[in-house]
Amino acid sequence: MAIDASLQGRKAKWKTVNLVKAVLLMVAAVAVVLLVIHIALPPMWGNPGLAFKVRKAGEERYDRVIIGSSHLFRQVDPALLDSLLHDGFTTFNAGYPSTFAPESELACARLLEHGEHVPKLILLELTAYQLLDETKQDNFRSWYYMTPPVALAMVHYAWAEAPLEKRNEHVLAALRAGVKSAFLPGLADDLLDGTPADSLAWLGLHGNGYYSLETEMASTGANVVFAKRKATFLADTAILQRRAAALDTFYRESRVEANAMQVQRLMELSEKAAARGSRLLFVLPPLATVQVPKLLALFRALPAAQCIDLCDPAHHPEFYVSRNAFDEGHLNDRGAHLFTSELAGALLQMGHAGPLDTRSH
Amino acid sequence: MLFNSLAFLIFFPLVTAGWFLLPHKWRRWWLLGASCWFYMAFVPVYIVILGFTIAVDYVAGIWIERSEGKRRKMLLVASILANLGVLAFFKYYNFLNESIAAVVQGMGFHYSVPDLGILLPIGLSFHTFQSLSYTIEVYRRHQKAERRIGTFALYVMFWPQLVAGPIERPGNLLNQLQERHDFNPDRIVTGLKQMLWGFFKKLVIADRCAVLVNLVYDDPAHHSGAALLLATYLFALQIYCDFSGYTDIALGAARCMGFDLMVNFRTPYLSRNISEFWSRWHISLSSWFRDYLYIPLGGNRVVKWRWYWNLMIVFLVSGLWHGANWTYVAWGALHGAYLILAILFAGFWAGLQKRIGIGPGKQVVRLLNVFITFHLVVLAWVFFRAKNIEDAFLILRKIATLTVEGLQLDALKEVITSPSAALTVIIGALFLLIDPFGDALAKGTRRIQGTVTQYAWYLGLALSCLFLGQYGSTMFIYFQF
Repeated sequence: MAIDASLQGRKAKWKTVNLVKAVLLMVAAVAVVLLVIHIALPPMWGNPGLAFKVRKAGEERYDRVIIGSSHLFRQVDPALLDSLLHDGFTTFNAGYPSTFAPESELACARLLEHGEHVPKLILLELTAYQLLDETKQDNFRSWYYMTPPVALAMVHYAWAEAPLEKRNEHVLAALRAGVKSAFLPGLADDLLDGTPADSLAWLGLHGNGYYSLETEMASTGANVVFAKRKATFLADTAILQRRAAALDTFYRESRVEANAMQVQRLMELSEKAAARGSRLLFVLPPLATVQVPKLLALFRALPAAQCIDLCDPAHHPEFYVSRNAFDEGHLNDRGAHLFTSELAGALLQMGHAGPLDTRSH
Repeated sequence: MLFNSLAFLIFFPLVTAGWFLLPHKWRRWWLLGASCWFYMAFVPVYIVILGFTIAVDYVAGIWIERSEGKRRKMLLVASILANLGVLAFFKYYNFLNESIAAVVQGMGFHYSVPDLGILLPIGLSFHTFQSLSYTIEVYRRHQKAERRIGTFALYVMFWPQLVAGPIERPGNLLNQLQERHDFNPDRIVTGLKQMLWGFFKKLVIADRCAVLVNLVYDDPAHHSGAALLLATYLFALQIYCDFSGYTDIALGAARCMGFDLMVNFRTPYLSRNISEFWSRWHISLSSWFRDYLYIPLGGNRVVKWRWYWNLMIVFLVSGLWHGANWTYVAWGALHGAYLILAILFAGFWAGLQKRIGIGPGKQVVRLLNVFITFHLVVLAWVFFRAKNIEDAFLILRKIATLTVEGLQLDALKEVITSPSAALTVIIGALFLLIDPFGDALAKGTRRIQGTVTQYAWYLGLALSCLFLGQYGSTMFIYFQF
């Protein structure tokens, strides 16, 4: 009986060891496949349009590159900027719709870290981090860039910034996004159906990356989304005054503190740029709509010499009048012309227009 | 909590580890706590309803056991009324109200009883039936009344099958809850394999098909007959993989912890007639209706018209069990009609086969029977999936008037709108070929020879789940029932 029990015990132990081995082997095999896929995936695979623009900016050796959301993509005309700065250098608009931090940080880092050519000047739109929740993760574009450091940064951000009652939800959502980015669930469909890098849509009519909303609407015929946005705006153009008033209040009264982690990440990018002979400037465009107090706090926490504020309605009232606006969040061609001119003016004033200043840095 | 969620990936190993690591006397409480947590992940307050059902049937079981004669019967009736009362209130109040309103308003009268806007507790029909089977079994003296409330609560709430079955019987699950379950690596391995197969069916087949099915069935008026036909086939695949996928995960998870739950599916689309289909589809429900409704009504040991009546009653109730909508009633009625017609024409069919000279044992006849049965089931699924009866008839009309010209690729492009949609159709077709094999492996009735092949199969399943799966927050279809 004792021998039987001992035999059975040993058999059970042997089976348990085998079970552990089998599970570990499966986990290791999945990990190897994931590793291979991560290596094989093209850079910034989750946003082929942005990846294409960043790659083009490097390959075609542009001197000035603009990175940001539609607020820069739709509103900064590189040709106009170059003609106003008149320094013989070329500008490329690598802006892309809905590119917020940390995706824009990733694009900037990619531009600085990869390829032989590094632009002399990078204009990065200042955008606040967004607190993630489950509803914002249905699309892979909302999590493909969540590498472990970014995911940890987002967890840190959510912990510091989320309202207490929502803190756990946002922290978990950030963690979940990190897990998704590591395990790539549903990758096959993302790759099969992913947005193609449509050169016209993202490069614009002149191939320099600028495509204003008005031009796109005119050249692509009836764009239902744009038309609806414009119609909504035209039905209530006073929204611009209300937004300007709200912004004005934020400028004068907001005492929100900047998130230290985001400031740190931006400064690290700035140092990285400097190390590669480039210069990073932060631009705050007009008509900001998302997390404005947080944005202003961030803006104030960064070195003034690197910041260009084109948002303040007290100093730039022209961006808050309906004749210059396409919709409640974007400028029209006329507004974009004004905005580009103001940006050029700011760059000239700061003395950061071209490579000479970059070298002096 | 959804099986196809990140939370479950943490919950399952944690609960299983706790189950084996804790001293035996604490294990049931651990499992009960885990089941409460699992259920409360949906709508926490609805645990009160579950608590009510448990309390009523726990007390009813003990009292029934102690009583005799009329009092015993009265107690059973009280238990049934209490259970069905809860079910009726939460599931059928709005349906009845709407139906009465339609009739009354149709007659030109004013009707203003308000819709209460009650949200149906998840899995209510499942645990109500499971709890009912306990009191009925105690009444029939097949089962001793459970004295330990914790154990009884766990019988009703056992998390793997709490929200979508299989609808267990006390003779199986309650007795297993009394037993000691030691850690068994073999069971863990087989359980995990079955769970993996379940996840594959849910994430890779059902949820992928759902995207295309929803696209078409949400707006049948604007889709061609070809698109509707393809969507209907895909729905047949979706509902099978969704529900049997859930069952596989439930059975696998329970097996890991040492429990054997009822087999609920046995490759039903390979059935050769509707009667066989019902012995292979949602077995725990069909056997529940057989034992607690069909046989008490007299089953087939009555005069013929009564037998047909019994069949129809069972399937109408089965339709209503699935949902408070006339589409489910029609679905049930159609299955009842299939069975009655099969009985009526059995002699004719056998005679015809004899005259043509093909016996039922011939492969070609078997295949033909499978083909016909499958299409009868698919036809009924149209009612099951359509939003209302009008839509169901519209879909059937469009499919019925489909011509060869209408079956052009352009029409299918309404469903296959992207490369990933094409991939779904291809994967779905391939799945039909591998299902019998995969099902047998999951149930442990078949083994893959060779370690490398075995690992390749399971690694393939895991990677398919990961890369080909759909990862929105998709519920299991049967949760709503």
